[in-house]
Amino acid sequence: MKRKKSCISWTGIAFLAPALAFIVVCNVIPFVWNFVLSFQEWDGFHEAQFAGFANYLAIWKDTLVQKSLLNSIIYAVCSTAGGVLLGLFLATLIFKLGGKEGSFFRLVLYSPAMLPTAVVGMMFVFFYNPEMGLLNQFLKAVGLGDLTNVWLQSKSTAMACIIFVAIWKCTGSVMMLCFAAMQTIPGTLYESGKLDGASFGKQMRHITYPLIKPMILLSAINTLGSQYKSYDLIFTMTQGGPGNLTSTVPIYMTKTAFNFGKFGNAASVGVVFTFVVAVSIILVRTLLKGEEYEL
Amino acid sequence: MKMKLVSAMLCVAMSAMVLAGCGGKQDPPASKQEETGNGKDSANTDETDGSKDQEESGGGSGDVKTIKFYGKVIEYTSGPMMTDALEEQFRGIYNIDAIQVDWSNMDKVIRTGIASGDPCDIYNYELQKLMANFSDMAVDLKPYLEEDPEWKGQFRESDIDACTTADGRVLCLPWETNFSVILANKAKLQEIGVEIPEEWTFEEFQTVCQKIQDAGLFPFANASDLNRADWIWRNAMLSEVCTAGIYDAYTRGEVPLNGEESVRALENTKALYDKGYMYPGDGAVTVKSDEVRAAFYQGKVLMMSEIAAGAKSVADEADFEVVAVPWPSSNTQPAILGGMNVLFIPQNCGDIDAAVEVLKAYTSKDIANIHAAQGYIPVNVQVEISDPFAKSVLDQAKALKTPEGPATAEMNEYRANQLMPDLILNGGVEVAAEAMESLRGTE
Repeated sequence: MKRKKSCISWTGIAFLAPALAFIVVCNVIPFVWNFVLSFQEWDGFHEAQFAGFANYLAIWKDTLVQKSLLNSIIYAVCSTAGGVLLGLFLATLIFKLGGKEGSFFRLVLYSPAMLPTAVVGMMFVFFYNPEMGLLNQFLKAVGLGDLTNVWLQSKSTAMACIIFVAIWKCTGSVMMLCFAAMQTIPGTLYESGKLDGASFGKQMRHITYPLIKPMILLSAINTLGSQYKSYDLIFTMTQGGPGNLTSTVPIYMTKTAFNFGKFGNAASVGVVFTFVVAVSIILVRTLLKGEEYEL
Repeated sequence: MKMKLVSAMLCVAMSAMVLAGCGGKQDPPASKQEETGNGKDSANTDETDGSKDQEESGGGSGDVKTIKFYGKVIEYTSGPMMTDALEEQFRGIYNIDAIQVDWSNMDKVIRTGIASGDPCDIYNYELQKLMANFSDMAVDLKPYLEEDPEWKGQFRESDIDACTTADGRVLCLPWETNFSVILANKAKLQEIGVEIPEEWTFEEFQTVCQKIQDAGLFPFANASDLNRADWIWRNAMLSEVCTAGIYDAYTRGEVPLNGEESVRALENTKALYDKGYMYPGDGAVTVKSDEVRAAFYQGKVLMMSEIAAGAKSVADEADFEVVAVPWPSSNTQPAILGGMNVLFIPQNCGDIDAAVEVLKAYTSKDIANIHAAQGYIPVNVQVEISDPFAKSVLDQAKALKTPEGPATAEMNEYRANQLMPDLILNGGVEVAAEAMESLRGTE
């Protein structure tokens, strides 16, 4: 019996080896290398010099790092909250739809998630264009010309506009995950709910949402992680500007490493940012943790 | 026993697959220097990864090295023609892998390439940025120039001096002159009754702008991308320091950027935005070059800034007559920012001698003639500019000042992306002047 267990274990390890090698090469080694680099001064060409904690100390003196960190947190938290709430709401609206109309709405609502982010960014740059953009033209057409704005240049609207696009883009994925989870709930639960006099709203609140809570948590963590890493959307829309108004950590890191040749500095910001992302994810897990029901 | 055997075989198979996967990655560096290819494939000019195509096509007829040339400028009608000619010239000797220049991301492309250990053999770049960012990484071309007086004679002495460091190293060689010009819609200006003088100050320029604005049009547009955002201030600053007789000190970085010259230049620049002369009004700080061009073609804006090298394509695409007009001077002395697009060879490129050979060919009279024939301005002294529009653009170069002076990557970044937002949106002249002065202190 013992010998058999040992044999299965080796086979399992052998099957896991390629995936393990992939993870080590693509995740672990770059992370460790980035951590080591964060204690060095390196311009990408000359020999790296040990710099101790200088790169980390520089972070606290550099207001741009702090601003980029704050922008990243605002962007990730707001777009995740918006995306998850809206995705859940849309899933609620369509989950009872069957047949062709159900497929149609799922396709329409999920389609933003299928578009390349750079394309979405460019599309919304035209949408927000102050002169010929759809938004300002629409506002003028309906007699709200006073509300027209230079959306991506104004301090009060630039980041909000980008967050709106991020929500528009990620909502479809959340909706599909929640919709799929809702499909697994047995119809008998709703039937007994109905017999007890539960309205649609009460059914959702007391049956659907508690049962799909693990999926909501999963989609929230997934969305949060990907929004923190977001680079392409912001770069195509504003490149972090005007000035540094919409600069986020990934944009700051790219600029610092590849434009200024300060790879060590960028790496230290990356380490701090990893810590911030990890804390955020733990917070979300804690906030959404609660009773879980098994079907 | 049977299961054990299957497990062992699977282990061996998977280990082999892992090793094969990892082993495949080792090929490109080895092929960097001794890469073989089929000469017939060297005509591939459209793909940035042309060398990979050649490898994949397989079947090389001999040992033909690939020279990666990061200098195919598709924005110019002459660009693909020049690289085609280069490939033709080296057919059977080198495979020229002509890579399209990404002007917005040149810093990143070059730095990443050099850091990877597998850079292009020749890079196109801007002179001042090269001197600031990559002076330690470029091959010294002085010995090659000394060895070949005929080649050296194709450049003006002043152009070579501009590419030379304080310790006498020639880091790059120019292939085209470039500077900022203002292009105008001649018919519309005449319609409004505006006459363009040979020189004008900011006050005179603003008077004209007001006249155009009164006619319901935007007077001027300056793009915020492609490193053009700071052109108005930089030209104004050059005019100020030339008038004050401190140009040399300015080129050495000794003139304070929060001093009276800089402040006056900033005030003059800001006035154009504050008075609504800049297209499209409120969004002028973030307007992109393609939006500027579209507005110019549509007749919404009557004057736009452009690089001299791009003036020809703007004029060709417009369905009205386009003329080059002078930049306004912030003070009495006219001066405009001059620059050159240069080619340099990174020290860690595969074959420096081969790269120099290709560099010689690209800067030669034959290929420079192709550039000139399309209406652009090569630096080769043996090439005659005959295109009337190119000549009119070149006339604007009489006020050219180059080099402008040292600037770190941080200073370049600030001027390109943050100066105008700070000046117009986030605090004004004082904030912008102090920010630049603090960056000058780090130079």
